[in-house]
Amino acid sequence: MTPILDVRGLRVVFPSRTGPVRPIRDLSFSIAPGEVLGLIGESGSGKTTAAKAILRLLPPVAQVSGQVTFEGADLATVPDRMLRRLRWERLALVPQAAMNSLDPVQPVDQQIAEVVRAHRGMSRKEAVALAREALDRMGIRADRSGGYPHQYSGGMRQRALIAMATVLQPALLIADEPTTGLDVVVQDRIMALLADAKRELGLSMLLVTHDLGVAGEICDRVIVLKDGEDIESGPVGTVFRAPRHPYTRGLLNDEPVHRGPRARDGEQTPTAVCLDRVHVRYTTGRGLAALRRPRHIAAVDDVSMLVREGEILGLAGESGCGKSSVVSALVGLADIAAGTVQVGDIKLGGDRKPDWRALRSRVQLVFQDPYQSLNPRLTVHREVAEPLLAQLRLTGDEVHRRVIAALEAAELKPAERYASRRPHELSGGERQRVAIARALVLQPRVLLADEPVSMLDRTTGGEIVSLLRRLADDLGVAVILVSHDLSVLRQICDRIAVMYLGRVIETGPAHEILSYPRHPYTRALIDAVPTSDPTVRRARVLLPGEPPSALDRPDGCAFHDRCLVARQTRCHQDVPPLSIERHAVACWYPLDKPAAGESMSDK
Amino acid sequence: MTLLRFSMRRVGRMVATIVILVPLTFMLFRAVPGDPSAAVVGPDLDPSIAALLRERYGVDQPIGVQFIRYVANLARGDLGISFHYKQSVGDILLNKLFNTAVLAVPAIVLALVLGSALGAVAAATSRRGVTDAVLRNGAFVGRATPIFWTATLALLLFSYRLNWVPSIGMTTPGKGVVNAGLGMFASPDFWWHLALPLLVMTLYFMPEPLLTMRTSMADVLREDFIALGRAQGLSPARIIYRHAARNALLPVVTLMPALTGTIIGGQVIVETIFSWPGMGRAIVDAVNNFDYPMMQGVFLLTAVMAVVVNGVIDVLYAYLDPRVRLA
Amino acid sequence: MTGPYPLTKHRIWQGKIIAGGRQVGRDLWSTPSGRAAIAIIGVFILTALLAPVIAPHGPLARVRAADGGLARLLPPGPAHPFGTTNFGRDIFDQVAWGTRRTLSVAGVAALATALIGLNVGLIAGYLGGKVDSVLMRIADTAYAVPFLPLAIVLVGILGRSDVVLVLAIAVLFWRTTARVVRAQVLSLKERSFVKAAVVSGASRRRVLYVHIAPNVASLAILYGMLLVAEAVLAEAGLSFLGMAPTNAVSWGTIMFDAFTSQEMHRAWWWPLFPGLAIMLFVFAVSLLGRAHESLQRRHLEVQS
Repeated sequence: MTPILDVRGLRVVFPSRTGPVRPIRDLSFSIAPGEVLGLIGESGSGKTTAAKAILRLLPPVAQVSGQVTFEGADLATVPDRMLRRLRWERLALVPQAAMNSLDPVQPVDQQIAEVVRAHRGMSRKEAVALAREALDRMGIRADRSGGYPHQYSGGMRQRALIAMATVLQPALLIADEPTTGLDVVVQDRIMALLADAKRELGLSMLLVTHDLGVAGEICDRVIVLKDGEDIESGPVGTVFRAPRHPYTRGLLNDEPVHRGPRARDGEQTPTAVCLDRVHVRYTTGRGLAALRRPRHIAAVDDVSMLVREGEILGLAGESGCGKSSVVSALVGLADIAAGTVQVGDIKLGGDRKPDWRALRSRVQLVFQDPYQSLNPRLTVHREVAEPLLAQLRLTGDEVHRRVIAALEAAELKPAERYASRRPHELSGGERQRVAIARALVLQPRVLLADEPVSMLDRTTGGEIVSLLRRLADDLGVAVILVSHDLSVLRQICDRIAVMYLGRVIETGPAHEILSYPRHPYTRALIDAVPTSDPTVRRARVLLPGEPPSALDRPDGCAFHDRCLVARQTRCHQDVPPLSIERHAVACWYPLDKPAAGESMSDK
Repeated sequence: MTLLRFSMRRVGRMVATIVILVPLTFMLFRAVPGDPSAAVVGPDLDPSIAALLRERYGVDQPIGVQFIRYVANLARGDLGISFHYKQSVGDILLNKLFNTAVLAVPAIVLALVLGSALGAVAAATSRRGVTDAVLRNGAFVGRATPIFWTATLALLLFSYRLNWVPSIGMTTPGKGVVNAGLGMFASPDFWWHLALPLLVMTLYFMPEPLLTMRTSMADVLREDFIALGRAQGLSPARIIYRHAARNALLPVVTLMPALTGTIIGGQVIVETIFSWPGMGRAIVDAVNNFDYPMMQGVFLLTAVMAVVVNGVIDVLYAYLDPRVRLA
Repeated sequence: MTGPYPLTKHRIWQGKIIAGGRQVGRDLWSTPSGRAAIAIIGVFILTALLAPVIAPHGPLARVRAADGGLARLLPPGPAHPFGTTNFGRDIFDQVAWGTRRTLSVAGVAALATALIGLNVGLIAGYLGGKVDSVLMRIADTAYAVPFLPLAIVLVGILGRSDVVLVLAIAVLFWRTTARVVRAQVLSLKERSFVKAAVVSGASRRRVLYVHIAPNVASLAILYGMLLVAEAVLAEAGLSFLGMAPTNAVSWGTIMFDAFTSQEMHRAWWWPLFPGLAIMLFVFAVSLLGRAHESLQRRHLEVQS
């Protein structure tokens, strides 16, 4: 069978001040009709550049060589007019989930109609009708199709882009990180839509992704890219189950981190932090409007939880569920509207003005984005010393000793060498370690980590996560780890709490939650995680509706409008309380524990 | 509907700014050293006549009463009596406002249209091309050039040396043309007078929209949706016309409020140099004549006009950008 | 609060400003347009400093021709490179002294303006809330007031003096600096390194002085420089309208004299040279702005 796309010896060179940069060195592959090829690799591996080079979308400074044959035509040499016809009619692109891929000043259906009209001689009305049809296939109904991009959620924008790419029914679809930055439930829906589109329209697909789970589920074959080179390729089953290259093995590894020798019998270890019926509210509206009638949004609504020393609690949930607000409240970046937080003998909330100073030597925070969390003007030494200088009166020697100790605890060795560097000389992983060292230097009892690895590559992220586990084991620090990525939580957490619209809906030991979820939402969340093992067919539970917003919380159980087991009146009217068990759930009709061996996650 | 609500909010803000502006203006003019009435005839005035004058201009009252009276008069459109012309400031300014508009409005429109168009051209050819270099550097030089210099040199060259156009005024006296009103537009004499100041002003206002449009167009052309447009096989003309132009014009619209100050300043200078009988010359004359009510009137009217123009521009912006309108 | 490290807030802040200034200078020098700009501005500053040496007779001295009469309205030549005025004054000498005056008035005005703008921006951005709303409403009002009419009115009320010129400039032009600084502070405030400082127990002042201000300093310095150009244009415009103190000689007053002399049509050189000086100076400063922009673009390219 002749391949639909055939790439031979593709090379890309960017000239730059510091010598040529070669994002792609000698890449060859082909895609058969109806086949899905995955191009996988970490950031900087050149996968997106390869996609752009095939589409001839690189800036003119890029020097592209090699042969790209699409349906018999050499894309590198076809004249512009021919190329314009091929583009979108035969060869379409789903760009990375980004606000900027849609024109902000035009309604979405008009934009799609615009593309249709550019290629087919149609009246505006017919084109819009076709556009609406394509949007409808992607689950965007007519009442929303005339909206502007900024009125869409991230998932809707991505679906609109798929609708745009498929409206002319092309032969090959190039999808560039189509699910990156989306919540797992939304991601799952996008993947289902892509799979449907492929089946219904008979598309071939080139899928560019860093997520092995996504690749494992829809690809027939994969190519693993590293530094612009194909280091391993083959059918997805072979590559993922028996990877030959150590790099691929590293990518695939997400085994739980080995526990330290520390006894983990929860009842004896002292409590590090305790939240009791905490509420956090935000005020919306800007300027004068906010003075007149402020609107309160409950970001955290009646949340109680407890973490012991040396324990890691994972906070899970989609974006906007309030998990980051819990963290903000614990360090005083958000006010506690009601309820109390107790850390050791310090109590926050209630009527008394909190003693932030004392609290801040006990509770410290590691931020999400390592590129923003370090002051660009300070050296590593000064950065880590900052909390000491701000809070304590210590001698210079003492400061130095503690800074070095903190850097070593964060496994930045040799510490002396790192101390004199500045942030721009460090990699993302090293920056995150500096941030951890800065948090450790005050010898806190509680360490909060807000999505600490979501901006890092998988391998680097795995190392950071293991570091957190060791800190809990060796130093007895209590860790609250916020992550949208269940596989991260699975690796190191002792217990997990799942949040939905500001409330904890399920909490308990990590392995129980992940293996036998009792709340339908937790179940959907777990089932939405794609698995990199292509032999496992998971049951896809697609949640209907759009992700919730705290702006208009449904009555009763907040999840009822997306829930598959919700029943009339009770779920719609009464808020289910969190049960008082080790594995607690807030649901009127919790799922039963399945018999052993039936679970999806227990592979 | 939402645009209407946005406009209402914006009108509210305009009113708030004016509410700050009016007492500020009043206080500013209360800061006159000594007695304002002394300015009318000089310091060696007979005390009884001075008292009469003070009473006539209301400055013998307590400051609070004066302010209330001032606001009440403003509300009726009464800006006081000019010390110099002994006429209602409002009436004088209405005439001058018309003369100013006749010159300023075409200059602004021309500068915006030509400036944006040339800016777009510069951006489209910006791969270190000659056109872009000429336009960009020309704009930078233009922005650095004081308008009184261009105006003076233009006057020297086109009027004094080449004798192509008349040097001063809106019309030639004694040619039987009405010096105001719409009848003026029918007279070629008026157009001859208009040509040079209009040219100078247009050139003066043009660099800002040109440079803004150039930058914003270049930015928009780097956006993802433009790249996607290319991937969709849209022709370059279609991409520029359908997607890039409207997005790129938005910063040009936001530039306008910052530009009003420049425009008004340029107008003052051009009117002075070309003896154009508008508001700009009126304020310079008023200072030279110690005519405080006149100064106050021109100042307040200009400021209020600037506030209103900025408000209108905000609404226009909201109309063009759904992110503001439907936020 | 003095720790073991000799880092008082004042000294940190001062040190950062100097370091920031040196950094800005070094960066700008690294681009061709930056070098050109610094060279041109340097020549102007030298002229201003050396005016008494270059033109020892002062700007108002009358020059006599060979026949003993006043050297009236002589075109540019070897003796008088910029020509003379109708009173027999040497225009080159006037422009040299004018440089001194224009740059000092503009420099003082720019410094005052930048200080107001920097502080308003820092306070509004950092404190936020109602303080921010009020300050920004005042900035809105300052935007609404057109400069030239206000300055003219101020001169009309307070009389012609240098203080009034500086006041007129400072009272309005702080608005741009304030907005730019505020925007920068707002974006810094959201960066997690600033939040991290809050979380690690730093006081509000420490956060402002150690973490925010140094990252704003170079921006404020750049805007301070751009303000000098704006102030030069503003001073020249006012002087041209006859709003400068009598007997003061600046680039603008030379042009005012030319325009009001009734003899300008016989002496094209009279308005030409002072205007050229204004243009060249302002253009050089705008080159600095361009150099800064291209540096930022280079910075972005490095990051991406």
